[in-house]
Amino acid sequence: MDLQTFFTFLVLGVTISAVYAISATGLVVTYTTSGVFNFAHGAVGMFLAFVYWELRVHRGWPSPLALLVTLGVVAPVIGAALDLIVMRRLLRGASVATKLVVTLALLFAFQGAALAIWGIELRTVPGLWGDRSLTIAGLVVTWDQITTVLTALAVAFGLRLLFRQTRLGVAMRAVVDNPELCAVKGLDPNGVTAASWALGSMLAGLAAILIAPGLNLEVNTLSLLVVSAYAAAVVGRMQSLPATFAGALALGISQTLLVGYLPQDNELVRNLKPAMPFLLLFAALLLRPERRLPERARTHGEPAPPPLGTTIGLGAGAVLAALVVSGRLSDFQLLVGSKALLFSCITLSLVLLTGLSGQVSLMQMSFAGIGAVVVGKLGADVPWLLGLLLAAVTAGVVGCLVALPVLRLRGIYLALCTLAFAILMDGLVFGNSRLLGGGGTLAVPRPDILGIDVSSEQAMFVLATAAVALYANVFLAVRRSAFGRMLSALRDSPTASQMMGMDLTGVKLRVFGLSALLAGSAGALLGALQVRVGALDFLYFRSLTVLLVATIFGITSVSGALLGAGFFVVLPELLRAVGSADGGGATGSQALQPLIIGLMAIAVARRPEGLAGQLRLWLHQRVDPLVGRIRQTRPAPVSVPVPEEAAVRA
Amino acid sequence: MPEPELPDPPAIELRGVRAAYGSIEVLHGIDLVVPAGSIVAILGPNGAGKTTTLKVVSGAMRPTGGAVLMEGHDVTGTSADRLARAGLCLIPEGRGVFPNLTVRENILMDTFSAPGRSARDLEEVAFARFPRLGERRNQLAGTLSGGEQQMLALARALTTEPAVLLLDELSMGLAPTIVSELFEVVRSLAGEGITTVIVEQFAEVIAFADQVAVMAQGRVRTVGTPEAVAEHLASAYLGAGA
Repeated sequence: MDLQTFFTFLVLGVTISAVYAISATGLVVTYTTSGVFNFAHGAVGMFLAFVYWELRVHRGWPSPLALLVTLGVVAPVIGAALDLIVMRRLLRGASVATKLVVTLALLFAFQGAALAIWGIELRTVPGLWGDRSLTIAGLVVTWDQITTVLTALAVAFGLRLLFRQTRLGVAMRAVVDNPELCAVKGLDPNGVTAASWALGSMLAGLAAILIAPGLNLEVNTLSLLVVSAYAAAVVGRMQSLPATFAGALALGISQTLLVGYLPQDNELVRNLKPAMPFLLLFAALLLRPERRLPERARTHGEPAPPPLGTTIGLGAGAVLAALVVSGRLSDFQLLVGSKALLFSCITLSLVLLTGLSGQVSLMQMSFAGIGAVVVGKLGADVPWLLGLLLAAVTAGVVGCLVALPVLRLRGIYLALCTLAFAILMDGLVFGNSRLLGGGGTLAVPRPDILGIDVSSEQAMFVLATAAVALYANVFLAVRRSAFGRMLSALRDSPTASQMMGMDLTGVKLRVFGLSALLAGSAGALLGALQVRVGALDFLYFRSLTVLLVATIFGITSVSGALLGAGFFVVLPELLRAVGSADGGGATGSQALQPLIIGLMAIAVARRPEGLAGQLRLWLHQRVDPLVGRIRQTRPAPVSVPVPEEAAVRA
Repeated sequence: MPEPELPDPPAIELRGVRAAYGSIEVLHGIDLVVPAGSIVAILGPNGAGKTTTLKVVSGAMRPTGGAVLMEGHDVTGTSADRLARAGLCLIPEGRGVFPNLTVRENILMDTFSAPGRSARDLEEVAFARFPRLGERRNQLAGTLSGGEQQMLALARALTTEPAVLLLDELSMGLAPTIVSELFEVVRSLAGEGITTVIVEQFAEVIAFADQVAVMAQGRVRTVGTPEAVAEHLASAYLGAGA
């Protein structure tokens, strides 16, 4: 490749870096002022790019006016509204996991909203300067590229000035340090956080609008562009703007050059290309040590597990009930039911890892996918049960391997790392035609257990019920054990656990391995149920959905996992039924699903016990008075009121 | 005929104030009058409700019952930032500084409760009284020593000329020489007529207070002059019969 090409790539790389830098600084601004790492940052940008398209292309406004209205009016309004409605009410003093779930939910909600308003067709946005360009020493540089780089520089200097020299900027930093002290000093902290969210939203929109002309305007691509910005922000440890800029520059240029210079005919390289930002994010996370952020412990409302006999009895009862009921259900009902049950198993593996141990994982479906691919590849070559065992072990080993590099990460950094891993898996394993065969799908045989044929829908339903019963019992057994108490301790205070002599590394490795093993075997069963699996089944986005749904229904309990998985499977079916009834079609249900899940997660995010816990509480409130009334028919012991403080004054 | 001269309303008055953390009530009806221009010390053992009382007065915490009056006006439930702009200056327990902001930026934050004053103005006053802060003006507040941090926190009382100064455990964790230096500043501020409420766990402040209120278990046990209260102190700290 000649020098000319190198410089062309370099210009491209610098331009991309500038966009990353603008987006990343927006992320850093909101993070440093509100302590919330906004996963929806890219989605906000995406939404604003659509708003710009609407004004510029659809309504034909001149670009300066469209730009001014989008960034000067819509963006700050969205940002301030996010702060007012979501962040301020929900997230002040919330745990890292809650913040994560809420911003993930916002990501879903924004994507859903954009799909609902603009649909799925691809659009293009014209450049700010059209195609105008100039030639410098034989190198063609477009005016848009120059504008982008100059804008990034202006943003950098402007923000530096804002944060160091102005009262508002210093106040923004002060709110992060101590919001209560700000109030005591006569400053309304709410106004300051609203201003910083407005600024963050403007920067997200600016980045998306600058990069949109080079891409198709599409919901997912634009929402995920921000991953490179995540990586840049991590390089800046989420607080240093100059380091964030340097990170963005390094990432943008290396990414462009790698894509330009790597061989184009290698499938592995082709699959890795879209995963490049995630590889770089992974590297940034591992190489750049995190700054320890204070985490507030939260109380968990999960009830003590019932005794072993009861839960085994309940499990056996469920299997018997499944045997009886399965004869009366249609094949479709059985299929949906089995799917819900197997998703419960995957959700239970997440309840163990995230709910009980506090390790946020955004890659649970990847583990499930590994299980499905292993049984699919082994096919009829080995006895089915052995295949299942190998699938579980493979997933477990991968779980431990992933856990190794990320052991020292916590909270948001751990979540980012698992997300990066999930997307790498999408590129390397599930998107690999050599692994998944022709058409990108892989056949998975229905089970044949010790000569008993379990291939009918009815048998699969019973098997899935048995699997859930087993998983729930394994999870509860862990909770009752000393290991379970260690996991709770790890969640509540890693520092205190270490002080008490707990081997954090060992405990984390074991729980990652066990969770991956459970998810992998559930994935193998899910594959067998579906008969064919494809890349889309284990997409990273589904891992996010599983986490959100588990949180909505209660990520700390078995009942939450069961209800959540049921909802996850039944919701699309319901939406499809409603959609085909009123002719709304695929777009409607595609948009509604993330919107519904997102809004529900925001609504219940503050309560770790979720809807299942609420339901339990509601039942208690209804049932306990009844029990009381029954007891009242017997004479109750009379309580004598103790005179207030008699003991003190005596 | 000239109207009879009404006495000035007290700077701060608490009437039957109740406050709770969740369902646990910690103040069970506090009555306290702080006359304008006086120094009132609130003493009491750990958990007596002293800090909660200050939180209620400063607006950081909304009482569940009763009323808070400032110069005769009911300010119950007014937000902390509005009260601060109205001239109430709370130096909170622990270090009342922003650790990740420099000394100068911390002083810049004080301009929010001193409308019309420039940061340069405030810096001049603060650095004249505490030269050590001037030497460290571009240092992050979190890297200052405990005493210097408390000086920085107290600087606001010096620079913004508040009507009422509330000090929560100013002496906590500090060396005795620094404590006496800080109390010297407090005394000179009070001498300028600033109404001052000092909360202390230890009884050394009794020396320069006009009035002392002794709290225990969420109630005011005794109010009076330092001499009158001195004999009740032991029983307040150690319980009845001591």
